[in-house]
Amino acid sequence: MSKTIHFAQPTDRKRWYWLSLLAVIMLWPWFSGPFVLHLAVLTCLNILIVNGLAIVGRSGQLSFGHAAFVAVGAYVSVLLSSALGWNIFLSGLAGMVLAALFAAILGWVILRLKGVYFVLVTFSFGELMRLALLDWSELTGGANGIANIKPAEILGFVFDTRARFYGLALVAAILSIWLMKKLFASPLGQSIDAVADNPALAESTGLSVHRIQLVAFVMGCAMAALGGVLQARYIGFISPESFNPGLSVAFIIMLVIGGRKSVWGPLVGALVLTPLPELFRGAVQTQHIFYGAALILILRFMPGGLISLSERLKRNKGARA
Amino acid sequence: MNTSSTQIFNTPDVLLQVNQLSRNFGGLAALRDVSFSVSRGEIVGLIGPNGAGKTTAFNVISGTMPPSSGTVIFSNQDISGGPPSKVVVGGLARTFQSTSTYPEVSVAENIYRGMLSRLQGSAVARLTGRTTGLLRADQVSGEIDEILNMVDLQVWRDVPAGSLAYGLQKKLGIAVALATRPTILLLDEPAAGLNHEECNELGRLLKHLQQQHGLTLLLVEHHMALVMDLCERIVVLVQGEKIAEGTPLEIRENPAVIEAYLGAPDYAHA
Repeated sequence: MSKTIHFAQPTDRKRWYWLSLLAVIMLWPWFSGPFVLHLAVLTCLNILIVNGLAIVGRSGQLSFGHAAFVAVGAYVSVLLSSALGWNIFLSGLAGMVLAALFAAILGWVILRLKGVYFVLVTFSFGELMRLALLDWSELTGGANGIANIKPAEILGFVFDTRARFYGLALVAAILSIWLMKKLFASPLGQSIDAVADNPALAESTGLSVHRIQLVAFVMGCAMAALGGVLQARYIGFISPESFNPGLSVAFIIMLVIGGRKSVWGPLVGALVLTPLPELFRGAVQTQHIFYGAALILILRFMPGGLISLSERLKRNKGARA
Repeated sequence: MNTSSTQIFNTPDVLLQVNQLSRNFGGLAALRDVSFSVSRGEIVGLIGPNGAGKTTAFNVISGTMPPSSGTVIFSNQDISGGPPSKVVVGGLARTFQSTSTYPEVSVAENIYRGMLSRLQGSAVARLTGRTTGLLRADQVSGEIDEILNMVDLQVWRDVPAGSLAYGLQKKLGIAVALATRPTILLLDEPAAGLNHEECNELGRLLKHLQQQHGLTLLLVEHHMALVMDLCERIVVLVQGEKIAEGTPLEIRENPAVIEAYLGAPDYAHA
């Protein structure tokens, strides 16, 4: 979808149709109950975090430790705010920078690995981070975590209600989608796609696979950290268990089911999958079976994810016309 | 001794100099002390029976793998050991034996991806450290057209690369390499899998690139008719060693070469 200068843009009328539909979906939570608002906030945060995972994914690597970078953002910003009184801008920025630094060091070493080996090391890193948070209890509160986190405050405005925080989360989600669109229309985004599509060819045309994957990994992990910063302020509580490997898996499922190769994939994935566990409350044991089955079916029959449905429809319409 | 590399050159127009290149895989010596040079504007062929080390030589020269010993000097710079992304920025590009494209995007986008490292002011150009042959954003479209013209693929501009016929995909592979604006192009079996007509066309294309665009070419090839017709000089490798070097006529009559190919089918009519 508008990946480069050569693609035809959707007609203006169609674009307005989609944008107004999106606007209705975005505004709706404010006019319904607290439960919908709560889900809407979580969805927005997931969009942000899964967008980060999508950048990594589109460079041809799959990170199984994405939750660890969410945790870095959350812990660093909360600790800096409580210990040094930094505001959310400064402490959030520090969380993102530290996550980026972790990603840069880790990525420099492990991005030489391909496929399942990279997946395994990122999984181990995620567990390492969780165990470190658990063990370092003087600082992190150990298994008890950190409770009573003060709500976010920007220029004197306190985001202490769901309705208010939804505004903040919505802006963050929209900005992250806008950033994705910009990125993947830029030469850097094109190189990220090129490196994933055919690494040997990309390398032979002057695109350093290692450097480009490293840049993608750092950007994606910093975005995850921002998600963590916001999530901690919203929930008001963090603990190592909030960032277990199950969360990393959930992000991957959202990405794959939504669509790995499209800017809109993470949006669709988060939109569909964030509310689902709530609907499945009565079937806690069986919901994971459902996710597993959905993942396998999508990979088998719709490798482009749910978003590829729209492209299929477009193609069919084109064929009929 | 400042830059020993410059002293190696006796003639100023030597573009690529391969010095006593060796490459071992475990106990197997795939290349043994191979030396040859390519002058600016020349077409040189690298031939030899299967397993002679031609592709290994290619991979070492283009930086895909480091040599076990020896050096590769290109434009007065030691480029031994790569990485390929750095070597290509210096002006040495390569194509691959099988077709190598980005199958899901259009022909024009394939070429665009080939020139990504040249986009002025882009993060990619900074990442690769490229400073020569840079393109402004408003030059991109014209450059894509120019590359398409060079290889005669204009008609296929908006077609996904993966749906092209095999011969056209091989041509696109050359075009993507050309998009980096190399001074020398290394072609790994460009004629493999092509039919007679496509093969003739390839010969004309390569000749055209040399004569009209001043490109230097080094090709590994099995198709003897093409090599004999196209190349000004031929280097023959057998079991990792260079056994002969000379004009097509000299190679054709060289007893060592004839012996190496003895019993082999006549490739000329393949």
